[in-house]
Amino acid sequence: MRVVRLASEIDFAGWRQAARTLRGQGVAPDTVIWTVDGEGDLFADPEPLAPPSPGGFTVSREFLELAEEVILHRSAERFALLYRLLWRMAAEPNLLRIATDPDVARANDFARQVSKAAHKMKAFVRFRSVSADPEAYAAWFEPMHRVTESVAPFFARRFANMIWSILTPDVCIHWNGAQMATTPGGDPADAPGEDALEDYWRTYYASIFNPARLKVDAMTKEMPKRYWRNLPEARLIPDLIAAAEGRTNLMVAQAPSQTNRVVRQMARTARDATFDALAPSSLEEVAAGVDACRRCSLYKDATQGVPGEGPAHARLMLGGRAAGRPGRSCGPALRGAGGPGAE
Amino acid sequence: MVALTLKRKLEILSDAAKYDASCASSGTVKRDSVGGKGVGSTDGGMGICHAYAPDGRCISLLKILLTNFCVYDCAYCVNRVSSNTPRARFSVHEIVDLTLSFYKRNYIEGLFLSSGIIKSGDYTMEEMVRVAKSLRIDHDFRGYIHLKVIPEASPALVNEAALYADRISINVELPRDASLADLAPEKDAVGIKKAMGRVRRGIDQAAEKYIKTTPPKFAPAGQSTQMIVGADAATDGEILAKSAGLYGAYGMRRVYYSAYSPIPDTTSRLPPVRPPLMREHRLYQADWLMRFYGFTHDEITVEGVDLDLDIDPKLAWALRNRGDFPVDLNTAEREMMLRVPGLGVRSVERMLDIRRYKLLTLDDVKRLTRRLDKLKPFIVTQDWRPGALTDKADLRARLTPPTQLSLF
Repeated sequence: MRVVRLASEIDFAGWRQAARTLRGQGVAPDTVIWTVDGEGDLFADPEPLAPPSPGGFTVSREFLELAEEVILHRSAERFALLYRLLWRMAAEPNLLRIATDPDVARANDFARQVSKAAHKMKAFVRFRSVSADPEAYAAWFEPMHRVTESVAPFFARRFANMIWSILTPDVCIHWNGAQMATTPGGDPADAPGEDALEDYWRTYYASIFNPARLKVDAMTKEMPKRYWRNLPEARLIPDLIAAAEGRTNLMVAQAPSQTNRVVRQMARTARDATFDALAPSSLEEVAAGVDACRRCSLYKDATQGVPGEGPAHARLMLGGRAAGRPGRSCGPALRGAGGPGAE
Repeated sequence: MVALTLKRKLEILSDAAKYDASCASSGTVKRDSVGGKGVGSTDGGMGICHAYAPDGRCISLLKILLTNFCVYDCAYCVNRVSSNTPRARFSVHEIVDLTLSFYKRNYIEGLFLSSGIIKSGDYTMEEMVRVAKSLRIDHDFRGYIHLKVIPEASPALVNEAALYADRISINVELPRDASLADLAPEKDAVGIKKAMGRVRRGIDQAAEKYIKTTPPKFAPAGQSTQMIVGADAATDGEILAKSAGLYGAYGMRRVYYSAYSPIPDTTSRLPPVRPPLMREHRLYQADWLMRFYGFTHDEITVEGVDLDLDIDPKLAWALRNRGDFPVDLNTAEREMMLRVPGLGVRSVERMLDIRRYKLLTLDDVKRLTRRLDKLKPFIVTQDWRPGALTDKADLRARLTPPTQLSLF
């Protein structure tokens, strides 16, 4: 048995050098035990690796990228799995193309899970304000895999001009506006406990939710419960779910609302605008306006409007009641049953 | 009038914004805040969903209205003038402040700003542009901005909006133009199309390469639109034909389908119903088939015909076209493999990779897909032929789950 001791859980450079040497020396995968410094003394101190034999070999860029991701996985078998792939590639150079091979499938699964964990870290880190001047923030986060260092540059590019720290159980990252520093893993108690803005965020979260479309599985698939304890909005979820059905029933059962005062006023304004904008300048226009008038309910049973008649500049004007039947159907004012003399 | 607190405004104006389905922060250019004065970055491809609401929808952006006061009377909208919903209006400063405060705490990717129409289209658009401009110029904000464009606003204002926004969108609202006249009397289908056409020209011009001058920026994440499903009598066939037209004529990045959802204050013109969520889901599947699987809209369903709610549209197509099956996974073209129900783009790519080195067996297919039993009638591998199974009269029943879950 050969024992390899790597400097840390994510010591890719160390793994790469050891794997290169071991394959160069023809050491088969099932005779290698991979450990990490500080993992106790379960195994005797490893014998130092002999220097790599001259000649060496090459691997595809694709394998290196895969290995760099897989090594961040929390599974204990990742170092051995990667070395087994490297070993097999000597005889099967196209191994990675066979996605259905059990080793390849497993490595692809690990890489996918790591990549998902990195994506969720970008999404679910929640900063809390620690100081307003200078503006500084800190967050406590528990990543699914060891992705903190690999995701840190994303936050540095996004919040380049802010001071922030991300504390995790594995490692803590600190950005001072110019440089990144790392310290050993921390504790939730090291992070600030509250931020006044979280109340606003919860208000938003509750309001943007549509209770008529409840799909709890779709939510938990993308926002697994293991992340909830560090998400300030998650505490609302049980109540929002519980009330959703009732709120929807209420909306569906409700009667249509009465048109409000503003709308009635607007309808009146729109109707009257026809006349107010017209400002008639001749008796003909007045006559046309009378015909179109809907300001009171009299028009409803009428055949047509009946305008007055006479000179436009008369000094005296006589008013009478509504035209009688003959007048309404054929025109001139003050004729028929309701004509001159009546009232 | 009593002044509303900022929290109450946020409550009213995000509640009013939730009927817009889009919350995407994807497809824009790559940029970050290094060397700038402010915060923000976009990675160019995929966006980030910072939370999910219990409705399963992604929360990526601060999606709010500038105001829910509105002079329009669209029957499907909670903010229509005739509704008794509580009203509020944000100041430009308040929105800028909220966006930055949320962004710095990593709650959001940016802002999606829409608005009710107050005074006029131009006045409202101007206010929205002021928000985007202040974020970009005063605060050097480099996150994502999505602006809803008011189709009646002047082209100059829309161009200015596109200068600051990553994405702009104009909602077609309803699949049928006639329904728009009916349910949204102040909106004008022709005006909406013209506005979408102008946006497309702007996007195309910005993408052209000039030798000496750089064209002004114009919404690098393109434009999208939304149709409400179930508020009028349009069939799925009509809806998909309309979508195909929108993708083709206006270069839409996305057409969103929004199941007509009951609102807290309804009008007798459009009674409340439970949202047709399964129908919406099938439309998204069909939309996906058009965009990534090489299907045309009339292959999926024709005008006058709705999608089958019990089975997905790809399986429905396969059952109608059994003569094209089974497909030999070791020899078929990519295009035909994509038409096999149960095979996604990713698994097809992997199969194409593998078959350069070895023949695919049923075991390989099993490792690459989720439901082998559903695939078997439609495929041939080195060690499997479906025989008469493909043409069995009860194939549909065999592939359909016996009890339908009631999705509401």
